[in-house]
Amino acid sequence: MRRWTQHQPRANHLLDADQFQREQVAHRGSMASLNRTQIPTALTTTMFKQNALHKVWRFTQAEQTRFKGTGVPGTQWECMTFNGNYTSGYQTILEQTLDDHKGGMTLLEWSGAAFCLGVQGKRNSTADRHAVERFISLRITVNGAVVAETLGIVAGIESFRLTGTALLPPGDLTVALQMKCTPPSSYDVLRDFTTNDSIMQYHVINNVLLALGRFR
Amino acid sequence: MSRIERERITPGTSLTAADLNARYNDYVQVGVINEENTRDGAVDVPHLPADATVLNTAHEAINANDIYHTAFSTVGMTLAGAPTPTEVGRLNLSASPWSVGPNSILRIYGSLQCKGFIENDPNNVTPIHDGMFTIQNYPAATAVNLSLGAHVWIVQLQWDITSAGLTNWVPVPGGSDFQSQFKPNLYGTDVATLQGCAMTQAYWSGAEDWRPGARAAGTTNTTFRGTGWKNVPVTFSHFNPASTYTLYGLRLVVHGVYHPAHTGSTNGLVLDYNFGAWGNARTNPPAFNYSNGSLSAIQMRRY
Repeated sequence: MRRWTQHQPRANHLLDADQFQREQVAHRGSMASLNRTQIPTALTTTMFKQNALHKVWRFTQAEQTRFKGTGVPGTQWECMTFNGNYTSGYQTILEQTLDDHKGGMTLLEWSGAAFCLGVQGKRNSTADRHAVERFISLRITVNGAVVAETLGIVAGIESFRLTGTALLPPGDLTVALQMKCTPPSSYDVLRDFTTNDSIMQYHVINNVLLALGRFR
Repeated sequence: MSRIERERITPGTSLTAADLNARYNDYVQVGVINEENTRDGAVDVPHLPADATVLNTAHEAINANDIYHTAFSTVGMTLAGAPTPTEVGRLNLSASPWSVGPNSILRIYGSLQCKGFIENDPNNVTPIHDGMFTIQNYPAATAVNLSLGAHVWIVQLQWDITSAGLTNWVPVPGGSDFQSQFKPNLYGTDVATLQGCAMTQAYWSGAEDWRPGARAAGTTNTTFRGTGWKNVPVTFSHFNPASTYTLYGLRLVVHGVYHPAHTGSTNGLVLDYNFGAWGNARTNPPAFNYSNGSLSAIQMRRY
């Protein structure tokens, strides 16, 4: 614990104009801020206010709802179909604010599960038989800057965990979860041949965004 | 920049011992180290007590010696009624249970090496299981059944916050027990109650030599295969619980096979009993193979 190093004033003592000045000089570093050498070596948890050293944000989303087409059979999800409004490129499916971020290294972790229709895996002739690339890409951005990115789910439903770190500036920061779907090729299944129903193509569910900002 | 939130001393200001002591206390008072009065890099590990930010950690390997998957285990699918979760690994904290209260963050990470076993073609067979649709056959413009390939196994996190006996396993908050019917006669849950659940594909389905509009000669063939060994990540966090609870243990369970469905505009997952029925009369239905994995837990303060 810090002590008076020059003179400890007590009631009824004579006051000296230099008294506080000397103490102030002794604590000059503290006037700027507490630095590594000035902080007591035995900090206790009672000395910390909430979020003094780090802050944690957690957001959940049951499923992406921005691209949720209808007209799919009951044994499929209402989700992104090529009958829906998805255009191309990365699209934001969840946007949240890391409020009152004090600046510092921040871990961002996005967990969830995604579906990508992968049945169109082969094309026509035997000599030209190969997989048609089809996947859903995922990325995390903070104030528009990419922090983490993955090609993500290739076919079927798979859980994922995407993490990234960034040295972020102070302030209210906007974090966005984005997905990008490969567009349909001429070999893709877009609608049911018999019923003309839309077929589920891409979806992202069970989203949890955890952000841990270490300020100091 | 840190600051002392007290009026500055100006010429003519009355100087008292109480004021001086109050100013001194500005530097040493308890409870006011906050995000404003420490500079970058000010607080380092030697300054901190052991429980300053991380209160508890624990880790347990699951089948640690089976890195080549030579001694994997198998979980069968549910063929009727409600799902029956099968435990595949646990993290036992009962010897020194954790007290998790407000201002805590509990972070759980699990992984499991697994693969979907499948022996029979799910395409173009009866009984029809969920997720079937039709594509155009060739050369005849008839319909061929094809599966979405969206069947999944659920790897779910459960905890015991009741007793050290570890006999009261329940899903973690936000996770369903899958013991209710999402659609008539179909057990499952909606996608909003999947906290602590990880999903992994049961098989891959596809079409060979299929072409819309019949661009080339050949015959449309559907195909399938089980998945190779892969890792399924389980992620869960519990943030600032309303009241304190005691955590005695965590475990991973597996159940399935589920398929997407929707009722109204609510999406969910339901068991698909028919998925195990085609081919050789359920003698060898699809199964879940698992080998090594791990389960880790971290309890943090919000400081």
